[in-house]
Amino acid sequence: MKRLTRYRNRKIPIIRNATNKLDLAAYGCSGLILLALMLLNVLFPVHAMGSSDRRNTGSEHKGNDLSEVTQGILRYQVNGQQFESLPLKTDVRMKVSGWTNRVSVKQTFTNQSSDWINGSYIFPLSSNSAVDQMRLIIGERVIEGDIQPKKQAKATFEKAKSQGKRASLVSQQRANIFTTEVANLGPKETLTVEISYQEKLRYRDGEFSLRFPMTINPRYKPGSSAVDGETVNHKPLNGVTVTSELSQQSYESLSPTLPSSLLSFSPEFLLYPAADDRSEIDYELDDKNSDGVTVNLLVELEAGFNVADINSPYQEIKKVGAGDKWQISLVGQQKANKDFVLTWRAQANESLSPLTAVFTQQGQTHEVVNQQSKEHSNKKSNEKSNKHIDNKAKLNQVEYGLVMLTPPAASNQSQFVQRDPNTNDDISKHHLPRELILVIDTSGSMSGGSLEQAKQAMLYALAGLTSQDKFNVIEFNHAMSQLSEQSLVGSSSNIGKANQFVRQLEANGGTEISKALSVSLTHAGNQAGNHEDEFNRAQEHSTLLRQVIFITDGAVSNEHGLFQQIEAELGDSRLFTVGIGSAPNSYFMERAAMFGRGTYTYIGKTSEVKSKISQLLAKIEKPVSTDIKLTYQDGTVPDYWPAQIPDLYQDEPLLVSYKSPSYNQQDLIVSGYSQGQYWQHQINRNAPKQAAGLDLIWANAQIDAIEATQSRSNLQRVKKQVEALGMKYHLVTSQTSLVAVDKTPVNPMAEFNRNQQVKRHMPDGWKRPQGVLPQTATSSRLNILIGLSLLIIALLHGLWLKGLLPAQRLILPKNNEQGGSYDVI
Amino acid sequence: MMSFKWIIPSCVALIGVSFLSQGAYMQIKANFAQYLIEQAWSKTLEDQLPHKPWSWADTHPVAKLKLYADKETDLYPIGQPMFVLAGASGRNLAFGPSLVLSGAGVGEQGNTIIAGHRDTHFLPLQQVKKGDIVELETSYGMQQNYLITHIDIVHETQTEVLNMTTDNQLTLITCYPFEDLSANSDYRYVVTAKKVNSGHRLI
Repeated sequence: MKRLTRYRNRKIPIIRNATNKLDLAAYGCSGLILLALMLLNVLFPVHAMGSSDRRNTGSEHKGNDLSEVTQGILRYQVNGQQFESLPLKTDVRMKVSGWTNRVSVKQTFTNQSSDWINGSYIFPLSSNSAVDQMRLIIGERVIEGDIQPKKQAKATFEKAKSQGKRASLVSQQRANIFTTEVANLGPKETLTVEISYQEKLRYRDGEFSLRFPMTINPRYKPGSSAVDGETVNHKPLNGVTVTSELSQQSYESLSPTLPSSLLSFSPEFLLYPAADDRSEIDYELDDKNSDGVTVNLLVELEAGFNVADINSPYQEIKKVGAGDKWQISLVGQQKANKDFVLTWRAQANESLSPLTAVFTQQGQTHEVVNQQSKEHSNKKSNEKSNKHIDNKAKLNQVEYGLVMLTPPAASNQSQFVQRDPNTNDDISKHHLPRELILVIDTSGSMSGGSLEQAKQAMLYALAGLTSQDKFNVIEFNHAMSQLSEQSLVGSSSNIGKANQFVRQLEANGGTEISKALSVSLTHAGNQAGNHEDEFNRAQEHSTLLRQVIFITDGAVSNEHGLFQQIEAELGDSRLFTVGIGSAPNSYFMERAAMFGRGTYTYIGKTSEVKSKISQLLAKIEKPVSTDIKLTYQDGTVPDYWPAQIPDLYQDEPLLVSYKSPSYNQQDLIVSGYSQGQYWQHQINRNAPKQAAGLDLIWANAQIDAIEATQSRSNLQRVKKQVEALGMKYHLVTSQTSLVAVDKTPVNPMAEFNRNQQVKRHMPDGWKRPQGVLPQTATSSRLNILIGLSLLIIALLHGLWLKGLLPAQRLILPKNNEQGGSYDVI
Repeated sequence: MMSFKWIIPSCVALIGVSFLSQGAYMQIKANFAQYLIEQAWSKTLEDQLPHKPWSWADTHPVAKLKLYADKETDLYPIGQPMFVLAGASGRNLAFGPSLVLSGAGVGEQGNTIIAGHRDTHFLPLQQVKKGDIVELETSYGMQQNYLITHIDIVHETQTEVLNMTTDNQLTLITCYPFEDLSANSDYRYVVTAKKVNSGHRLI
């Protein structure tokens, strides 16, 4: 009470004495507020306008779509331009024989509109597929596709398109992404493009597997983005239960979330996300009407041995057959929303000899076709035609083969000569002790999320150590520090120390990668060599695998110097690089791993850390054979790819393609080192099994290998080589495409065709290994806005407490009438 | 009692000041750093060696970038010249537009990719149009001009824009939409420019 009175007493005199001053202050305050509001308006004027714009286009969409959506086709209008998704049906037939799979994919484009259109479709295939054939099927007629250099093929296609001829073009976007384009698809007409490719099967732990990517999962979440406040429900994976009405709704709410006002720049590009989501709706609509899947799949399995355990983990399948011949098809009513994977193994009683070590093929698959297309392409380059003539003579005498390289323990097959049976048992039974060196980049560029991911990866790797293992942790920025001088035993107290060490790491400073590399790669060998005798050192080498896991974003400048350093210092160590962050320097990391004879793992998100690191650890903790070589009996080396055979891990045999003149019938020798012990197998080539398409696989492996060595300096040469190989083996590569053109023009008004995008499958690998674009925004403006608003609130509150708000001031004099000296106008 | 009353507004004011200073710090950092980087760049122009703008930096300037609007064949600059840092990490981006290291180097053949923050350095990007000019100065003092050919909005997962190209391409990436306030955005504004004959200077 006392206080209050004092307060009153004090306050009133102030008011009384300084009326003018207070007036000034109050107006000053309100002026300040106005100024702040104006400032805010100037700072963020466009936002409100932008969003109202979008809302308008959104409602337009709704109007159009509701009236015009018909079965199997979805129209959407953007800036007055009409886009449609083109329905497409895919028929897949696979023929598995031995270790290879011949796949033919029939894509049927149906034009349900009344206009002529050009369609395009982007789709994934498995990464080692060699696409060698394309046929354009128009009703009864079949037009065989020609292989042409990419630019030439594109020109041929564009010419046919403008002349009103039906044409199709298959080209490669990326290693596993292809595009089919069709030109001049008439109203209510159907065109089929049949693409055939050859691929190797995967074999691991006694199990064969093949994979056909057809993922159409909803990957995009435009609704949650900042572009639009509307939220979009994730469409459930199992679309059968979703009514088409619901999916239409989600489609409608999806389209406005695309920044549609910007479509004028590049419609094809922008529509991809929507196209992807729409595809599901198409499927749902199709499902409702045709009672079937849009992807039909039939596998003819001729394994060459009695098959057991045919399995498809993601789809329900129907199996017919017995012994070594089976027919597998998808059960209808299934939604094609996951990759098709088929696995099988040999029956138990046959498990010892199901695997023939060699398959061969005489001559090329595409000789005849080649000669036709050669006339066409050789006019362009004389140099190439010479090569072709040379090859023509030899063509029939060349043998292409596929040979399985098995590490010693898995090689129980009778035809293998085992030189070193003792080591085999050791390897297969015991966990190999190893030395794990974890290297983490703590330079400034790793700050924030990257370092957190890296730390998690480290902690996870540390947790997997056993007391048999040795380990060390090294961190580096411009300086370098390590957990201990010598590698530590993996005891729980040491691991605890390491965890502590990792947790307190902070990102700062520059990136001096070279010193950390040399310490991590050479440290044990050199130091042991200085102090101990040669025998001990050899022991150390033979028992401990030295594996270096190098976690960084690869922000380095002297790449080539580092590659040389890795090559020189590698010794018996293996370097596994782990890329972290939104845009790691994959060029550096992949090649560093290649020179370090390890692998490159990319971790894009924190949620992936565990699965990726555990995959890597599981792989590298298996016994390994190194220095694998493939030779003839007389020591000469066949032409095989990949030329640098990677380390062989237990239960993961490798398939290597080779090419050999058919007069050379010597046996092949596979050799290598396992735990310091030399071993070799002899592979008998006298009774090889015949298989088709091995030349394609050989050429594809060679192209992969050539492209892997691509650098900025040899870009042109690599391209030339790839183009030559593509032309010779009739393969779609990064430099060659298949094009088919119908002779007779059908569309006199070709220039008025509309372009349509077929809903797009997105491969599993599309998003993850590539990561995301760098994050290019800060919350600075948001912070300023929040800060200013809070300050204004505080100010207003303060004024209110003081009773100085303009409104309060008008009332105040009435309350304080006894104070008297207030005059209000 | 009186002090009780004033707790709330003073707390609010305190929080407000901290937010404000955080936001202002980012803006000031972005602007001020450019002066230091400019000094490092002028040293680099002299000896063609990387110079750190400040002693503890993890990066160095690799190029100078200018935007020019093509207003009826008369070129006038958009925004201030910017200095491009090596390595598009979050930290570097706070100081200036940064070169994505997986792309081609400045002046090299291929796809040169530069990312920048939409609320600081690359804010002027919203003014550029097709046909405008981007000028890039290499460490040898060479001026290279790029003509803007595409402007796309892509989702952050569409890393196709980072692919190598055979011709000389410059790709500028920033977040989209520009007026958005938060630090996270799913979309990117991608400006693609192709090298034009730099035999004569356009400006």
